[in-house]
Amino acid sequence: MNLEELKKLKDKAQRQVALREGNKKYRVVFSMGTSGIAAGAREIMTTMLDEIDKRGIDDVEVAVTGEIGLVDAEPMIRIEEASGEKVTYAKVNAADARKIVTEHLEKGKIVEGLAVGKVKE
Amino acid sequence: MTPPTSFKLKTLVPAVKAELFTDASECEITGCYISDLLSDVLAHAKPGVLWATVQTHRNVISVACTKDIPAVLFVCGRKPEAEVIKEAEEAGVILLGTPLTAFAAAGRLWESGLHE
Amino acid sequence: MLEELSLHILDIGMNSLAAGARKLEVAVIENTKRDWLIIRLRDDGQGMDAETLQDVLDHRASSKKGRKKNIGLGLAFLQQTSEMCGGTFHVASRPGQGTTVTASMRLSHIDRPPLGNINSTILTLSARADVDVQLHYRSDDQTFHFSSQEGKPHEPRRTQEAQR
Repeated sequence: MNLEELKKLKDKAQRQVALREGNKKYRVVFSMGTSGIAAGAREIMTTMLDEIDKRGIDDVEVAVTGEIGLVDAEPMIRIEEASGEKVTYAKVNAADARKIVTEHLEKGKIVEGLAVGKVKE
Repeated sequence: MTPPTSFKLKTLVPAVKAELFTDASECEITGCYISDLLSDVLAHAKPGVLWATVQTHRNVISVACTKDIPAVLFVCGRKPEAEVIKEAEEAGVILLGTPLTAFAAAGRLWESGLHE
Repeated sequence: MLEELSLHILDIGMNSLAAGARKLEVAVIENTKRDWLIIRLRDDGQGMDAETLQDVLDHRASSKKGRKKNIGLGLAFLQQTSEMCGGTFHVASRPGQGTTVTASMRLSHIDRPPLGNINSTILTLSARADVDVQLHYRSDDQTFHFSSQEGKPHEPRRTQEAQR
């Protein structure tokens, strides 16, 4: 195990402190149960966080949740808006993750074709 | 979209010289998935497939249940422990074994018409 | 089993969060001389009584027909990996006192998965602002310690009115 790699952990954690705070326009919830992890959800989350950081988007809170129960649709992400609307994306790959950031989080446009559910409360 | 062709497990048994470990033996098979990494099966196998593996650990049963995999084929002559067979029976998962390698078994299944 | 040990850690760490943990300590200890790798996760979540723990370890919830939500599969996977690599696996838990999962394995075992991207795992678990996720890493003579609560911004200063 490379100690140099571990040291980067502190820097990265620092950059993500703001993402843990609530009361943001968007809340991005990652499905991180066993099936999600097996399907690569951790990498999808890392990709999205990198993209959010790169674009300087700060109106986002991130969260993780356990098994949703839809084993065949993982990796899954749910975007919750302050307005009450919730959009679920399924079978998200790295390219999709970046698109969700640029289209949905930056421009407010739902990525059709990737979204599997939309609920307004 | 046309649904995949389905085969009765019993029709595939002779092709792979399979031996049944569980009492249950009837189910419909719509494809085959070969993997020895449980997380890979969890992520990629489709419901209804015959899962071919060398892994005989009881976790195989849990994963088969989670993925709606009706039958597991142990290749290379592997045999599950009695405890694993009992769990499979309780869970409704059919277990079979073949002396063939995964490659040879796959070839025979393909020749039998299983193409998914 | 999972491809990387750090994915096992993530999986089990998520159980801790679900159990309401406010503190999660992850220890990874590598000893090349004795050829051991030990992974320990300790949380201060709600814990489990003996019966629940046994159900989880037997993964009864997941062996019933049909898909079921389960906590046991992640533990079962790590247990399988430990045992496959010549090691041991143990879970200790008490209601109200949290849970400790300890997995050991032969460092040089050919089937031992690599540790993998532990940073990603810790960062993912650290998404919860109210949970202190700690990593203690020790490899022979090197050590590293991380806490997700380090460098947390100070409480905002009270306004002058409030202070009077």
